[in-house]
Amino acid sequence: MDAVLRVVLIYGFVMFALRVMGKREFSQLSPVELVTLLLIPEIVSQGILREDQSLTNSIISVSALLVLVFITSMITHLSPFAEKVINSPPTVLVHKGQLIADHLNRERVSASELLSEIHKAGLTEVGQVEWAILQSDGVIAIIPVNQASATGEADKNMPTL
Amino acid sequence: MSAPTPPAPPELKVQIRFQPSQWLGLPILFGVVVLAILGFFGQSGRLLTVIGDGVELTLQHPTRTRYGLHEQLVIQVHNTTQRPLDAVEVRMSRRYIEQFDQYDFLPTPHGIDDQSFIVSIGTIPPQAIRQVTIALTANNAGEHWAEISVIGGGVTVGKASFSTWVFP
Repeated sequence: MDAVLRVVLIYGFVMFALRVMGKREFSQLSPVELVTLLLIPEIVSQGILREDQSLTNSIISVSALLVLVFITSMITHLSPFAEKVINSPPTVLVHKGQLIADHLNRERVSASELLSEIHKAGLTEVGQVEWAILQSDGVIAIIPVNQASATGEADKNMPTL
Repeated sequence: MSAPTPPAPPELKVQIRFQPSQWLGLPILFGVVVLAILGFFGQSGRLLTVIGDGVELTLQHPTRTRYGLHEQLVIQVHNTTQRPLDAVEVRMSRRYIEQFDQYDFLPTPHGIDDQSFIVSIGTIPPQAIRQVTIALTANNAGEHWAEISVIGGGVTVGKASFSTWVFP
């Protein structure tokens, strides 16, 4: 009983904390971010297991965690609102070759970091980018101008799921 | 001017579908959690009273525990007669005690034979109670059976048995 309650509390807190930190923490990690994410399990393991090192307690705690993960995924699948609250929505960083400075600053993505992602996509400058979107998992998706228009044409011919 | 938004995702009829493995696995995971909430895997104890020959033996013992957790076994011997009970010994089955990682008797046993730890509690005056306490730390998993006997004046005057289930 105690173990389940502790997992629920820690899960809720960590979900909240990671949501507040933003999307970047899930992708390429800086040293500070890496240390933060490595330390969290170390800190919370004491809070969950306490002095009870039994296998039974570990199984209960892992089961409780997996049940929470499953319930969370069900809720986000069924409710777009819950999906928006739990998984941060994508953020547009570049549109039609224009940087959106407010979004870059809010997500703490530097111009050089964005340019590096643009280069990885095989492009040389921001003007070649139709969309640069910071996804919920922290990856920056780069859609070149030509590809965006081609995809748009293709979308029109695609049946609705 | 509002901030640009990325193209909207296509429409999808949202439904809940499970994979075959999830039909089996999810009830197990949910079952473990529900049983834990209901206290099935938690520590529990019982108070057991046995009337013997001129003595009342009261045991407060763990019935369920988990590896590494601390438990206490309390044995009270009440002399219910109007005369003193001499040379009283409490014998606790060794097979049970040795299933635990640590065991501390109070008072300390004065002897151990093949079957038992033997704790001497001397003479119990009429209507008096003497107590033996054993602090235990659970180790081996499974059900462990214990037998306790009280010897007074060279004969067995009380006997009780119980079991403790230890989760791994």
